[in-house]
Amino acid sequence: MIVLPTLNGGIKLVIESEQDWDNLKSISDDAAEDFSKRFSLLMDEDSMWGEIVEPELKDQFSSQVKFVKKQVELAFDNSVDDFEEELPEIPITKEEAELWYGALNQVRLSFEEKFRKEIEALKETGKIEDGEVVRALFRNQFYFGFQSEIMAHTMG
Amino acid sequence: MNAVEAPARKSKSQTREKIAEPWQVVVLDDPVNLMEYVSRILIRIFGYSREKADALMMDVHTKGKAIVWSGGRERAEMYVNQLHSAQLHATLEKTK
Repeated sequence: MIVLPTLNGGIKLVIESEQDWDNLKSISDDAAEDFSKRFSLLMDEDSMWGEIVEPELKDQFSSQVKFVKKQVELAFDNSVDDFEEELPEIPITKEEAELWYGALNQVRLSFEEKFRKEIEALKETGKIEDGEVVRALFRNQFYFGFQSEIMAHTMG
Repeated sequence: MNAVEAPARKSKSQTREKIAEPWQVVVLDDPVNLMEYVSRILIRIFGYSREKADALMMDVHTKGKAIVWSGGRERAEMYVNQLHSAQLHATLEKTK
C-alpha cells in the first residue's frame, strides 16, 4: 500500500495487492475490544468516570471503527478486480484522518494486550511458533506504519 | 421544645479552599502511543510550546509518567477526559 499526501491536507491510500485489502478489512475485527473501561480504571470513584465519561468514550471509539469499516467496504465494492488495470484508492481528508488514526490505535492497543507475552518472547528468542500470532504481528507492523504516515501528513 | 442546633456550615474560606485543592493531571507511559503523537496532543490540549510538550513527552517515556498540569479538580477532570479521548493513558493525583 502506498500513502500519498493530497493538496487539501489529507492523504490517499493506493491499494496494491489483495494483502493490502486483507489488512485494511482486518482493522474493524482487530479493534473489536472496548477500551473505554480501561480508561475508567485509571480514575477514582469520586470522578464517576464509569457513569459519565465511559459511555461517551465507548461511542467515540466505536464510531471510529465503524467509519473505517464503512470506508474500506465502500472502496472495495467500487474497485475492479484486476490490479493491473487500475489500483484502487481510498481518499482520507484531514478531518477523517483522526478517525482512522483512532481506529488504528485501538487495534494496536488490542494487539499489545493480546500478544504481550509473544512479543516479549520474540524479543528474547527471535522466534514465534504460532502462525496466527505471526500474521497478527505482521498486521500490527502494517498498522504502525500506516498510523505514522497519517500523523506525518495530516496531523501537523 | 428543645432548641435545634443549626447544621454546621462551611465558611466561605473553607469552601474556596476545597475548590482550590490542587490536583495533578498525570500522563502515563504505554507501549502503543507514538512519541510524536503524545507531544502533539499536549500542544493541542494545553497549548504548550513544542519544547515543553517534547520535554513532558520524554518524561513520560523515560520515567513512566509526567505531571502535565496542576490546578482545580474540575478543570483537571476536563483535561483527563480530553486525554482519554485521544487514547492517552492519564489519571488524576492529589498534589502532596
